[in-house]
Amino acid sequence: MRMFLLTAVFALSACTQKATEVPPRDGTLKPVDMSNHPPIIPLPDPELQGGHVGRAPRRITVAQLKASIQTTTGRQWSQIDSLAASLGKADFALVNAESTEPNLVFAKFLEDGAREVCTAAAAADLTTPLAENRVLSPEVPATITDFSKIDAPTAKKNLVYLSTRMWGQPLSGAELETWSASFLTMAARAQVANKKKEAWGAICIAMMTDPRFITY
Amino acid sequence: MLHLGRLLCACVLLSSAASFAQTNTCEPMRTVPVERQLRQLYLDLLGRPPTIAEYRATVAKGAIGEADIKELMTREEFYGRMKTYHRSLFRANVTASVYNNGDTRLSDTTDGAKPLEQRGNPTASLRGRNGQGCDHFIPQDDCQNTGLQQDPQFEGAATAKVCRDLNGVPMPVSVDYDATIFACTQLVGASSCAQAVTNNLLEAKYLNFCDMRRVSGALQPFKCIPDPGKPATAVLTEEVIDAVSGRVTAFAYPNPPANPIYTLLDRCTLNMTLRNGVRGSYAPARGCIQREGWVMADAPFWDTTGAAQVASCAIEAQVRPINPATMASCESAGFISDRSCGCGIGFRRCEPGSGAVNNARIAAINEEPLLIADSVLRRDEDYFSILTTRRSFINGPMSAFFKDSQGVGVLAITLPADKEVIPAIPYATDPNTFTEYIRGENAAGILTTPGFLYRFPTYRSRVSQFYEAFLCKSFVPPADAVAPNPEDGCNRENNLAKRCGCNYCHATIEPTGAHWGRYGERNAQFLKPEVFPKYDAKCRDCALAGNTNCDGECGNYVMQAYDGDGANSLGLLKTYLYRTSEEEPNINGGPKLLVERMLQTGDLERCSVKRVWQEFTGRSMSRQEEDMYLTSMVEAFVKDGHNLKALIQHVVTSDAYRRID
Repeated sequence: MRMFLLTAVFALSACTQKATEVPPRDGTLKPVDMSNHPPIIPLPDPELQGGHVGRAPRRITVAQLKASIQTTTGRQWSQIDSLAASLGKADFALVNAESTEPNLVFAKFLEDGAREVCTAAAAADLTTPLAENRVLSPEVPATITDFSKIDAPTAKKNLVYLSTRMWGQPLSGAELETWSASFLTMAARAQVANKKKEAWGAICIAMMTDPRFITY
Repeated sequence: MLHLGRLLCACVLLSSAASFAQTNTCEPMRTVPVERQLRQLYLDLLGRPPTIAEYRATVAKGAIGEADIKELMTREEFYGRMKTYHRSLFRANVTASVYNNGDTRLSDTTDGAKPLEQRGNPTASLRGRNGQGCDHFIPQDDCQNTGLQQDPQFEGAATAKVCRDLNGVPMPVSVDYDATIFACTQLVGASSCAQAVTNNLLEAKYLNFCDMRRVSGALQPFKCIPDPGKPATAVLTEEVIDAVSGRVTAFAYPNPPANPIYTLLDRCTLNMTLRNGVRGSYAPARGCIQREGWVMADAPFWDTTGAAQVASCAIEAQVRPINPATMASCESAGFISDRSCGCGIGFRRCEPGSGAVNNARIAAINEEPLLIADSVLRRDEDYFSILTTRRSFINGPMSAFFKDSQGVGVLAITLPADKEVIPAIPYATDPNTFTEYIRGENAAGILTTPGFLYRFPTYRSRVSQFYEAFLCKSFVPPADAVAPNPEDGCNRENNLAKRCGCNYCHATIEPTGAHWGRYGERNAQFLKPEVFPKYDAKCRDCALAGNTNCDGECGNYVMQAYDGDGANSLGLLKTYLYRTSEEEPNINGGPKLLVERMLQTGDLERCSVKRVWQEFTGRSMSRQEEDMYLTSMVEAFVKDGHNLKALIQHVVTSDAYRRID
């Protein structure tokens, strides 16, 4: 609370600078003219509510997971209904609250599910002649059959597509570079092992088990 | 970053104060990118993430407007998502609340005429032991057929057999010795008891204890004597011999001590004994399994083969509403143990062994409150209609249940409306097809549905659920509550609303529970005032006579007294016990009156706002947020006519929802 008051006092001085016509100095915020801005709803004090001022991120429910897998890969994890209770689904007879804990059991089973659907989706892509009909690699020209020979811009373009599809958060910057390098390494190994489907399949598994897929 | 966040918070906070008048502020709070906001909205409102096409369309548009959110809330996926919300809120699952012991289920059989038969525990009172079916090989009404006789060596002439008693109740057509009491040894080398005697495999004096039993479908002779390997029957060593026939007619305990398990085991016959000497109340002879035959009966209501008739055990095929001798009703759970009742027309009182009928009923009961809430939402009605509306929905299994008085002894549910008002939907209709109808005057939204009444089986649990789900309150003693001294006389107060320590919560629970006072506990029956008056002199007389059961007619009345109030209340409907004159209107007002009262307090609105906030932001409102937002959101909710979609829109367009936490 003391920190909040100090901050508030500091902010007050920052916010009212324009009124006193003092020129901005380094390290101070520039006030914005809000005369035409719609009314602003005041923010609560984060310290009074455990650091939360916005929406609390949470793990998706089993129903949302099922719908997410279907929407993002176009196929369903065959075990999801039989594992629903272990994944946290409530029956409201004996278990009254849906568990959205990102626990190890959930992570383990999700990895199994991701392997199943991603491998199947990647395999199906290999037999899909039109690139735009592919689920995991629509940005890769259909003429490319050796994924290790994909150029970096094409790989990045597809990674941005996949991250948007999977997470709603397009990869960018240094993280995109890292994912691109990882993909090219995996694609080379998959080519050597003659398991081409594992190239984009591995990326799919990595994205489906990423916190950005299972939380929102 | 954290410091910057606090700085921005402080700026906006202060902007609402005097400094805001000078139109000076900091840069606006950063909210989530449009793709992430779209994913949040889709997962929260539709239960799925957006497709890539939906992402691209929104990114191209640049922002998600109120119209976009409104459009999302018109999609079928949204209504499915809200069904999930209400399933959680109502805890709509009575699977573990309805007790079905399977006694009324009929097994499919595979030999003989393959009749439908019940094989549960009640068959002990029908046939002599649990798990026993009828005779699959002898038609009930052809029991005098000599060629079908199973045990001619001790049954006597087939033509003398009695197929049915004077009221048409089926009598046993064959009998076996009970292998749990008798040790039966196959007489190998003979195909009949007479041949066994001829072949010196059996002494003639034991012909009454020679039992033709089925082995791999064929009858084979067995010698059955009281099991020498069991202490209770090993002592039956004295053979009681009939002087005329020279045959053993019983095994007796030579010098029995006081209260032995057995003093005598008679030979088995086709004759039944009368339970307590009451005519029409049959009991099997001890140690004997007495089986009736089979008949052809109209196909059961769950039959999908299209057959007009099916084979059934003769007892189960009966359709009587009452026992013609004792006049006892067959419309109670006791029908399954009464030889005169049967399963009724179309086997309406029974179920298939698969449990499919029970599962279909449970599913429909679970679905009803969700459909009530769904209909309110789809029509943009006042949200609290879910607690007051008479509108409801019914499908084939439940329509047949009500219309044909099915499920006797398993589900105790009062007709929700007059029979002619309930839509007539054939049982076989797709169970996902529900038809709207209007329930009786006492109906109050979800609060009087079987789903609610069974899920919360006592009036106290019903109050607790109502407070928790719709008022966001739970019954917890205050922090400064003091446990009473164990020696304090108030510990012996029977009225929990007054008992010290208990009264912290029960002073509210007991009078509130009276709103469900006309609904039975552990069932979904409405206790109509004309059938269950406030005071019943007959019940009082029974109670005074010490007959607290009163032939099962006074279960809802005060029949025992534990204090002065109780002594003065014998014969009073239980819900009236300890109720003051101010609280008694709660009983006839029902849950609807409770909702009307709570609407006047504003607690229902506040709780709904809090619940929707928690559902979509993933956390409950803090005290400060309540101070800042709750009143305005409640006012908006009221202004919108308690429109839930408008409330949801309000929450998902709030800064809190759109902010990165």
